[in-house]
Amino acid sequence: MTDRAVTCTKLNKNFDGTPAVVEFDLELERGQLLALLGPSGCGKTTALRLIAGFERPDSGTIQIGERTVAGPRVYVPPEKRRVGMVFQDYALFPHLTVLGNVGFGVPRGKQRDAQAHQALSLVGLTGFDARLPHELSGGQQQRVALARALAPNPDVLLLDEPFSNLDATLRTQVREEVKQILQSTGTAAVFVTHDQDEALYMGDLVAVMNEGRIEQVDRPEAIYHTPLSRFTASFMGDANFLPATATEAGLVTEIGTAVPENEVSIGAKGDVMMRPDDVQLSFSSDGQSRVVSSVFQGIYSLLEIALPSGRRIHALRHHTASFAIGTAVEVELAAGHPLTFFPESEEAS
Amino acid sequence: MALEMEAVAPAAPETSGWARTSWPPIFLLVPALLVTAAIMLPVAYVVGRTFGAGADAWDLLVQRSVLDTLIRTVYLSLAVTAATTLIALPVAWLTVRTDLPLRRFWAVLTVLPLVIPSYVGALVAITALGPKGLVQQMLEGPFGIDRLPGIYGFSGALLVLSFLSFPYVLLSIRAALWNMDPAMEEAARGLGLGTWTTFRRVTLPHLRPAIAAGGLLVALYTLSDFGAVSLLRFNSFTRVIYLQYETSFDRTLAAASSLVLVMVAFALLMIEARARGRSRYHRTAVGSAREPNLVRLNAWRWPALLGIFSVVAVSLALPVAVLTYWLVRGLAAGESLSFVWQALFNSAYVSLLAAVVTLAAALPVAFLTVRHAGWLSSLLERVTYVGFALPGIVVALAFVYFGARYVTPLYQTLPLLVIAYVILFLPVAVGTIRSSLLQLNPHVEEAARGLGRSPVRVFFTVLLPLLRTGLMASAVGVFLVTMKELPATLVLGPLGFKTLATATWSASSSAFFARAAAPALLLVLISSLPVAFLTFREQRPVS
Amino acid sequence: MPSSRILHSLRKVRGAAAIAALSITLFAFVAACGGGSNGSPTAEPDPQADPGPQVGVDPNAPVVSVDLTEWSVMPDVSSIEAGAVTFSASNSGSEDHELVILKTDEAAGTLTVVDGRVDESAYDEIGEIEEFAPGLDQAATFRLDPGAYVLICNIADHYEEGMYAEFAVEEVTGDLVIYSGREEDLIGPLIDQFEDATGLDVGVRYGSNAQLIATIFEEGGNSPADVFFGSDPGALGALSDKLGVLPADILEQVPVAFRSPVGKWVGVTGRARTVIYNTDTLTEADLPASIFDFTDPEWSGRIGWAPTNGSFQSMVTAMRQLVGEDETRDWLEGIKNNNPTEYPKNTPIVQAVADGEVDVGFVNHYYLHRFLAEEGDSFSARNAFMKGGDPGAVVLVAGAGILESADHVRAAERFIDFLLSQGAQQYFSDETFEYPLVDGVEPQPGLPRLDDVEVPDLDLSSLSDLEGTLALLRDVGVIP
Repeated sequence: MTDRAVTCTKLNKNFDGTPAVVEFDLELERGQLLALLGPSGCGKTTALRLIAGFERPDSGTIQIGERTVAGPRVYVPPEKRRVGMVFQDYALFPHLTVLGNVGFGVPRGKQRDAQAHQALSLVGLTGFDARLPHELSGGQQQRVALARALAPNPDVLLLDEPFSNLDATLRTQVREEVKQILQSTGTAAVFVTHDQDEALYMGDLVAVMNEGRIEQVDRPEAIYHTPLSRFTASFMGDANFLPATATEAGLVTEIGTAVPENEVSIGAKGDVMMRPDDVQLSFSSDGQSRVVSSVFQGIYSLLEIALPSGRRIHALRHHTASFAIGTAVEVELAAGHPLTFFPESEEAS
Repeated sequence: MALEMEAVAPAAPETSGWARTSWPPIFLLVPALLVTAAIMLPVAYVVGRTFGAGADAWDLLVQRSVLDTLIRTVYLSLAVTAATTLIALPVAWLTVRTDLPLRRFWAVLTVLPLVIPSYVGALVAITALGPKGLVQQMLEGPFGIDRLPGIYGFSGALLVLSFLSFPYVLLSIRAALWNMDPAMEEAARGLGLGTWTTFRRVTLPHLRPAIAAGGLLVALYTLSDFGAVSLLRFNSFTRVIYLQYETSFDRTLAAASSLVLVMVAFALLMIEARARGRSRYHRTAVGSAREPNLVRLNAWRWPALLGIFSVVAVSLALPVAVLTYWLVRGLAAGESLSFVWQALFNSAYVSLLAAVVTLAAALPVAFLTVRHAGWLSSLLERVTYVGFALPGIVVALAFVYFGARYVTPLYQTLPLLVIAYVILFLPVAVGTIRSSLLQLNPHVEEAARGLGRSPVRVFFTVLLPLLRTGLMASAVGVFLVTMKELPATLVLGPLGFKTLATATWSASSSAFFARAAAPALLLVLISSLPVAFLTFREQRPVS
Repeated sequence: MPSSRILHSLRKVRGAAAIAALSITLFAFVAACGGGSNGSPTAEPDPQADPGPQVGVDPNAPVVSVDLTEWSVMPDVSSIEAGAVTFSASNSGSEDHELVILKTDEAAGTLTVVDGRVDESAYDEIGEIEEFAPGLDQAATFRLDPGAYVLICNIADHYEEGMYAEFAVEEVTGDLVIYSGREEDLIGPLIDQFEDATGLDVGVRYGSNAQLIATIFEEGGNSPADVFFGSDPGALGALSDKLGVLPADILEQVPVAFRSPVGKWVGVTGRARTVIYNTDTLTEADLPASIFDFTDPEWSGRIGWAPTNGSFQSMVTAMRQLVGEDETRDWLEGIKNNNPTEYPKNTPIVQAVADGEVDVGFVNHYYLHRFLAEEGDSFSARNAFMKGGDPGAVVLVAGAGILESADHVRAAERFIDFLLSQGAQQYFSDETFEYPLVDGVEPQPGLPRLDDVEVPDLDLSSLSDLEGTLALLRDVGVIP
């Protein structure tokens, strides 16, 4: 008995010849919350639907717990997989009350109402039993959808962009609640999102998908700071790529030298990736760099700087320090931690 | 909503990841294929007979006059479709989106012309509008008008068929209007479009699939109509087919002509498929749609009332008035009314049966086309329309042929008659169920599957309740058209099986108009009950 | 002499059982060898059997074998259903015998005897097989109504020796299926009467002639129909291949002119072609005497006709027979040149003439009378009969026949017999204003008698050439 909740091995799925999911591998342990992150159209929803059983993979296997639910000559229909699904549009049953919706997946019997009530209290909707879905607010509908998915005690919970229809404030709040609920129930969960912040906040693990493939699966911090691919690097947030040469002293760039995070061979040329906050700016009338633009972002301003080489990079400054456009500045690399090096025409090793 | 008879969306494959497995499940595919096979029986019969005819039939078919007839028929078909749209659009809009007084009352009345058999409609038109007809007699005295524009030929056929069949388009448009998100129109208004421009650029394009679907039924109905064109002396293709039976008792030539009709029908089906477009119509937004605000007509109320009154007057009040006149005149002349309770019961009973069985047959087909879109399901759905385009007598004779030979014990029994009705009227049900299904969020079904319910249980616990209104509407639609069906009932009914429609036909064909009037009036009266029931409980579907 | 009810062997051979039965009864020499392996039988009476005059055998009729010997008459069954019955008599004695069939309620042994023979004139003699020699067989078919019968040999003293037997003929029971091209409003009450009178369970399918004929053809050999009751000789002719030959006693009730010359169908009512005219614009005197005169340009735009209607087409067929193909074509073209208004059938023509839509119309005579009955005498149209044996005054029939595939032939025969009964004929006359076709029933007052209508001299059988008429009509371009 392992603690494995979901295992996907080499899943492939095409729609009319167009690959949607390619060689998809995923492992998730009990109690873990995995965020499946990627730009729209990257196949993340299809991957989720493969796990749920709404789609059949062209090849590859899916196991839930110890049980193979999809594979060569195996296909377990969704209703037999013990997975809960929360849809982006919630898909509540419009003809059933809140209690009817939540109790829908619980086997008929004495336990049904009790379990439904328990799920409702978990999501803080006690007392809403008799309401119909259209009588609820968006946030309430979302929580009913969650309670409905949780009520039958599924082995895995799947959430498809569950917060995308909520407004910003509500989203933060519901997100926290959901994270707590999932932690308290210890249910393994996969949720699909295209929002990096949400993925980083919610996920115990984050899987970045691009064009049907998983680019990287890791803890949120690792994904952010040590991306394995240029795609992940730029998808996870503002990324500067500066040409660098690997030397004994480190990675030498035009604005300074950095410690490589990954193994590099001496003499290799490539790009080093740094986040805007890894770049230090100072006023200097004889500075060779110029401020090109400045975007106010609240606490910080994001500046675009033209380097002497003509390259442009982004730098983050506290809003109290204001730089007029055209100001001459000195730019210095000051990451304070190792940086990832991408050798030329190859991904990071 | 009430009778939501039409599809409002595409059979084209969807491009994003909605419910879609690579191959339709057997429990849908097998019944759908069975239904399709049954529909192909008349086509097989027609093809068989045609090839049995050999070169003679071919010679007769490729005559210049046949081509002329064909062109004339298609022309009438398109003209009636256009006219019905012109009638139905404003009526639908007035009864759904405005504060027109007695909206629901008008909504019921404007659906009822559907139950008037076309030969009755034509007879009434001739009696009322023909030379020396009732209308002219009224005008003659005070106004000295002694010649009305001719009722016979193209114009008469156009008039009668348009006013009898516009409810097909009306129901379709009404359904689409009910389901339209008012936000679309509001968005257009917000972008600075006026009322009329909004209608033209936003509402009308949204209604296009509904108009296409309703128009298709009208076009096919016109193709297959015999009663009106024969009385109004318009030489349509179906009339030629009937005459071939009628004059030479020639089954092969008639069959060959029917084959031409089948081809025309397929052409119309392709046109309609294009007109439908590829857009998707179920709401993807979260939350329930708002009730649209009713447009205040204010002073326009009076012209609007006058307009809708005129439509009801011509399409319903006039036939009822003429029928009543016959009845009263006959009674005054000492005509005794043999009461038609048995026929009334038979009509209601067999129509109800047909409605239920047609629903059952239509469900798998509609499901396939909506939830498992692909070339196969599109083909199956298109094929269901063929029965509607064939003259009733051809479908009936196909059933005679196969019934008497291969299912002799069922021949001329109710079950076989009901199956014939199913084939004749399947498109009426398929269209409605399709449109209801299209408006259902497929995630709702998936959610139920994910919660551990088998597809069959999902069907009964989630889909049936959600589709209830649409199913009832399509059942009522089938009920109405079955009530007035004649040729299949005459040929395939159990011996001595009398319905209101056969009673009307029997009496009117022997010129006992008073006796014909009573069952015809009952036909209208009985049919209005389910229509009224549905219309008055009309409400926005939840989903 | 045998009565007129003796049947002629007109019918085609049908079932195998009938053939087997027939082979026993028809050929004397076959009887000797037991009737096992004879060749193909025919319906012709065998010349060696010395048949009595007028005696025929209906191959379709059920057979009652009667053994005649000294001194008994022994039928193999004691009763049979009403209708045509073939008695096959075998003389197994040593003297000549005969078989006489008497309808009487008296007991077989107590008939009135005069000079050693039963007084046949005191009883209803149905028929007889005249005396024939020992060792021979003789057969004849008789039509028997329900009731009690006595079979005797009436050669002097044979009856009193004991040559008699009682025999019962029972009501036909069971079902009957009628396909009626005539409307239920007309036929329904008659069917009810017939059911009451016979106890038969009658099912009727109503439809247009064409619908029902097409149905019968599509049903192939499985048609449930026993009787087709059509409203037009063309329709009856079209179905003629599917019809069996009717018993002579049915056919003979109707004048030869009004029945199928090969016995496939019999006319039930007569319907005269007439010209209907609007009484506001015309009087009968304004009308020409012949339908040929309507080609005159003065009638341009004033004529209503129904070239697709069966009765009209039968009239054209009659015209072709009477005046030839060319003159008929001239007439059709002449009318066509007068821009007639086309109607689908008779009823709307009558309405249109009364409305003044057209001045005259070519119709069957009786539709007018239905309008008169419903709308009263103020209805402004009347019929005019063309004169001088004109095709415009041809008398057509509605008639009935029995399908060859019929399962209930006896009941079907009874039904057609019923249609020709005085009561039914009177009903047609009263209700539909058609002409009764059997003796003793008068047409409605107000209708000219058939004798007074100068009906063209025409054999209705010639009206079966519908194909030729259709070809001509298509050629002239009056039907598509």
